[in-house]
Amino acid sequence: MASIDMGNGYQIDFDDANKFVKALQDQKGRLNDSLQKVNRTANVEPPGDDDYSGSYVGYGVNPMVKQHDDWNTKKQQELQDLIDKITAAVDNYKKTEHNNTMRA
Amino acid sequence: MRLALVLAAGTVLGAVALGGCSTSKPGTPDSTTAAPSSTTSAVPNPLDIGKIQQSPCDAFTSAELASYMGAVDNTSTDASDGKPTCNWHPTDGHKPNISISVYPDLGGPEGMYAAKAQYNFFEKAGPINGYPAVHASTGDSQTGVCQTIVSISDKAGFGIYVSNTTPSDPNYRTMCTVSDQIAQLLVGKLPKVS
Repeated sequence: MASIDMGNGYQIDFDDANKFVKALQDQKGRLNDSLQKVNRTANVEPPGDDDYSGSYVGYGVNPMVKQHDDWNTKKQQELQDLIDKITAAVDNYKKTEHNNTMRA
Repeated sequence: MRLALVLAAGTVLGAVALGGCSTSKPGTPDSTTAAPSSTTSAVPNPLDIGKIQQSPCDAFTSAELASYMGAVDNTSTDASDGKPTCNWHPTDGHKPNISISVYPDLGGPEGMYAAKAQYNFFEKAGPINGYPAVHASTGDSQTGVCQTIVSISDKAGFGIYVSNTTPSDPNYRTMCTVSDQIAQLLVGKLPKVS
């Protein structure tokens, strides 16, 4: 059975490619939901009314949130790149099969 | 009447002057100084978002979102933090994800603006159909992601969150233009508070 080389020794069968792409899309969706949740909960109340509590939120929480933001976005891009790679390989395989069938 | 206005103005000025020493939380009205909401509403013509709060995925149909994100693959919901949310995911991963979150206790425009220090990107947006709004994001800018938050009453508001990780998206660097348009769409659909 034909398969797609995923790199690092991993291969998937063409018949399973659509299921794998769907799983990757779902995972990307979950990452997006996580990023969205961070955005709606970024409104962090300072633990107290003193200046230090305000500084904690301003200088402590925001950089951590930003790091998560960057990491999450990068992972989503990597997943999309993988989805594109698999989709392109499947399309290419189908075209080749189609052309071979036409010649035969 | 004039005396009442002078007293009210004095109360407001006094509250501003003493703001640095206040122990109350931003956006939390002080019962001793707050005037009746019917005469000092910060948001005229308040809107009712109760129905969307109960069922956020009913805020939009797939057809309404199609021009922004293409076909909808699936939706997910979350209300674990008291901010009911619906996320619409595109079939084409290169198109934007769109979400709505209902903020039942936004605290009116004052509460909305008070959130500034807690977002990495925050700017005042033009009014959305006359309602005060801001752009807010945990990112550095509106590149790839933007949330338009709209204050639709003295208490409640909502946020439209749009994100895309594909730089070839024509709106990639100005995602707030998309979230603003979808926010306008929702404001136009919400009923007025009866």
